[in-house]
Amino acid sequence: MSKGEHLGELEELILLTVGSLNNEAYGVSIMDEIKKLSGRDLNVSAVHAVLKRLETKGYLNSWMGGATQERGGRRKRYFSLTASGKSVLDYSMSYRMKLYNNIPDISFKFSS
Amino acid sequence: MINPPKWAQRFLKWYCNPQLLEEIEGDIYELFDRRIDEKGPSFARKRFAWDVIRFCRWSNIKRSKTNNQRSNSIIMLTNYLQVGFRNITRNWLTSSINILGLALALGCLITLFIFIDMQQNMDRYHSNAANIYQIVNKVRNDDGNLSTWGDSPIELGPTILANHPQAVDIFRIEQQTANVKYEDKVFQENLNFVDPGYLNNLDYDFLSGDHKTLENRDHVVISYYMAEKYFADEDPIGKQITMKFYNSKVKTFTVGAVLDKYRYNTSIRLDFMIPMANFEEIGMAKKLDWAYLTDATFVVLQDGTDPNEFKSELLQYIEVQNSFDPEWIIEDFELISLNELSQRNFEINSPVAGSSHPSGRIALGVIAILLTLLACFNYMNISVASSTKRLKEIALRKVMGSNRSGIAIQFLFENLLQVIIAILLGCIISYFLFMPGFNSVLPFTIPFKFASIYTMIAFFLGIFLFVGIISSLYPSLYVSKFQPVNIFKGKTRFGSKNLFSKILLGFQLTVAFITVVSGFLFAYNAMHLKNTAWGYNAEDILSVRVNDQSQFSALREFADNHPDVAQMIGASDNFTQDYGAYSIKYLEKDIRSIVLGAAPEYAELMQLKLIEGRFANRDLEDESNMEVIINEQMVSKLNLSDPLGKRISIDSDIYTIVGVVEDFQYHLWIAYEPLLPAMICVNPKEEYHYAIFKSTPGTIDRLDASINEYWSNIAPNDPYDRVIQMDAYDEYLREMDSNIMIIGFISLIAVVLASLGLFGLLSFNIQSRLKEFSVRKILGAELLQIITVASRQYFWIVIIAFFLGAPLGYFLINQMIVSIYPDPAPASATPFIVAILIMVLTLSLSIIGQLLKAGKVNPVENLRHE
Repeated sequence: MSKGEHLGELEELILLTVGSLNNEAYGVSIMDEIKKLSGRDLNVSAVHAVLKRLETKGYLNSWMGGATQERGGRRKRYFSLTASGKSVLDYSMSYRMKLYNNIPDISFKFSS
Repeated sequence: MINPPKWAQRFLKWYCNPQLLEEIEGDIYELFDRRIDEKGPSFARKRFAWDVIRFCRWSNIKRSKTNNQRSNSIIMLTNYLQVGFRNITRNWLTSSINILGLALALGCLITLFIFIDMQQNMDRYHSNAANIYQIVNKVRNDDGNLSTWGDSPIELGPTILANHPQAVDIFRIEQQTANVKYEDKVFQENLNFVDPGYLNNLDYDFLSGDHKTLENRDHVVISYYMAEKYFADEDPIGKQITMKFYNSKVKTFTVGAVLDKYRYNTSIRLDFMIPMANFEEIGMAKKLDWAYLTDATFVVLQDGTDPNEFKSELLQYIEVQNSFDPEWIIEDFELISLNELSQRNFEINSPVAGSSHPSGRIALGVIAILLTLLACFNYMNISVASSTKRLKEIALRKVMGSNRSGIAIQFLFENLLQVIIAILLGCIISYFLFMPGFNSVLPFTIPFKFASIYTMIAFFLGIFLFVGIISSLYPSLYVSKFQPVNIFKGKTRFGSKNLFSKILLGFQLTVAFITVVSGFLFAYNAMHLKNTAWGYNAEDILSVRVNDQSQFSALREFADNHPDVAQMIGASDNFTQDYGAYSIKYLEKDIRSIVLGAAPEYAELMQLKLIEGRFANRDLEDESNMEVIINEQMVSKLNLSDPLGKRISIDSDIYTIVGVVEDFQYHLWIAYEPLLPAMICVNPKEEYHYAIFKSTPGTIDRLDASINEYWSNIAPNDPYDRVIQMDAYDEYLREMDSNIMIIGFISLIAVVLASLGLFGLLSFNIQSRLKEFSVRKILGAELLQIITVASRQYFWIVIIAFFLGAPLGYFLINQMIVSIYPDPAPASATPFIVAILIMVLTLSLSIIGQLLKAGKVNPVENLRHE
């Protein structure tokens, strides 16, 4: 994996959220989800910027949803993971796990 | 219903990329609705505005083109730039011909433009120049035409100042000559009585002292040059200089201020400025009333005064003036702004400002534009021809989907690139070569500077557009129109059969012939005038101006005792210095003639060439029988078949003609004035103004030094004013030389440009016909035959250009010569022959290499396919 394809922290978080929301991911719902799970208060504009960046990198797909009564009839742009988005998540998860598993259990020994 | 802030909604709509607007708006509104429920409307409205501001990012802002398209066209431009540079370096020979030719012409254009620009903007640096006007008089001539005179009544200025509130100030300039003495330095100088307003209203630079100096009537203000002449290293301020005016009044003035060197764009350059208040006291005019005309009157008007309205107020003074002087009838006044004074100077009789006639500027402007056109055509031709090598590139690009405009833009871009390089190079050439060269033949120095920054921008933008369009547009449109099919089939060829390019080349050669022929005619004429026989022998002759009899007698005594003096006589007039013009009568004929009076030995001393008769008799006792010798001009003007013994008269004096001599040059500016009939008569001793010395051969400089030394003893208050007759024409000859140099240089540039054009076209033509020559060679063509075939079409162009250009050049320059020089050189074939030889020589030199290349072509190399 080349250098340019590394994910930033926020990018990774949002990519994960999009994946977890499963076809219901759009700006506000992603923001809410992150707030709910991690307590981080993001501005919706930051979410949009990251989403756009991930889309140009090819990790996300997007399409416009149907019109509804909410939001003054404005459509939502929904996002979903692409195959490469999934694989980049897999990669980052796997090396994190590898590193995590290498941590010795020192703290446990002290506490027991 | 609670709504978000209006301004925020509008702001979002204004900046947001319309493609992103819907989703962004949707999210913000969703949050807004939710926040109203959760935290109330005012919080929601604040957050809404905050969100709108946060969304205002580069990636969301709308623009005319999307990112991708923009970078693409930039990439194409950089690509064109690179291809352009590669082409310049690959075809370095033609590129440098192109660029150098253009740069040479542009260098000339820039230099001449700066010169013309400066001449058009004289005196603009005076901050109040727009409100300063010279009042000139319109006077009816004897021949019925109105003429404009700078001279105006001396009373006019003060009267205007007293009676017209619009006139803020006036100043007059009264020119006089006087002998100026400081310690042992005595010179005759032009000095000027001026009103204090002269320095108050004009922004001259002061080296020391200030513009108030002239308010003290015993002060004099001197120019930088005079400070150098009289005081050298001393500080002139406070020094006393004595002026002896021509009515023998003497007054001492204190130097109160020194002006700095005049700026190059100053047209009124005075050396000595004395307060006007002294003029009446010194009493050079019998009476200072409306009849006395001073040299110039300027008026300074209030801001916003209309000069025409003001002039109509002045018309009342015409009657006053005319009642005082019925000999000098004024019909009208005119106010000429200081801004325009130097441009209109040539219309004014006896002007105070110095400037040249506009015809010179117009001629130079036309020449500069012609040269630039020449270079542009050169450029067009060569750039079309050099595209031959790139036909396949053009075709391929078209096949790959490029349209005509794309190719045209590429070629335009490449050509403009060369034009920009040429302009930069032209500036460098002008700055380092042409401008210093031009300055060296001018009597003053022009800095490399434009009148204003706007002029400079307009000028360079102008030449960029003009040269760029003329020289780039045609080639790029021409080469971009070819059909790829024809190119690949080999049907499209150009360069050889293009009529347009032949016309352009023909034009270049015609202009070259015009300039060369006219240049040589001009030079021939100037040379002829330069070598015109003076009609007398100036060698070893020195003339000293004397002011009275005692000085003359003292010099006579000196001459009798000095070994270097071969002869010394007196004269009241002298060649190149003094002579009068009178109306002389013979029977009922009445002609204007130059009259010189001198001692009877004068003609012999000057070695005038006697045609018939004898020189005047030595003894002068008989007042009733005055003898004169006349020149050939007079013989022919009076139609005398046997002039000797005939009597001619001036007023009541009657003279008998005793001798006829060849024409002699009595005046300095041989070329600019026609030679008039002239006579030399014998004058009595009391009228001598000159002591004429003839030294023993080769001792003239030594004699000059010793007379100078002697002079300061016998006349300490008068300048040693002498002319070494041999050097009298020096300045005149220098001017001739500069004219020859300027014209010669312009012809040279034109010839070089035309040769470059021919060379460039021919070399491409030969390049594209190498196969043809190879085949001819195989079939047995000789070197000479191939050269003939290769050069035939150009030969005809040169011939046609000659027959168009030579007569045109002759006609044009003849008009000019006749209008400048009244006695032009007789027509002669020499300049034509020289011009043809020069052209043939340069043209053949420039193409001989290429022709030999065509002749020595190796068929094997050119016909082999792999």
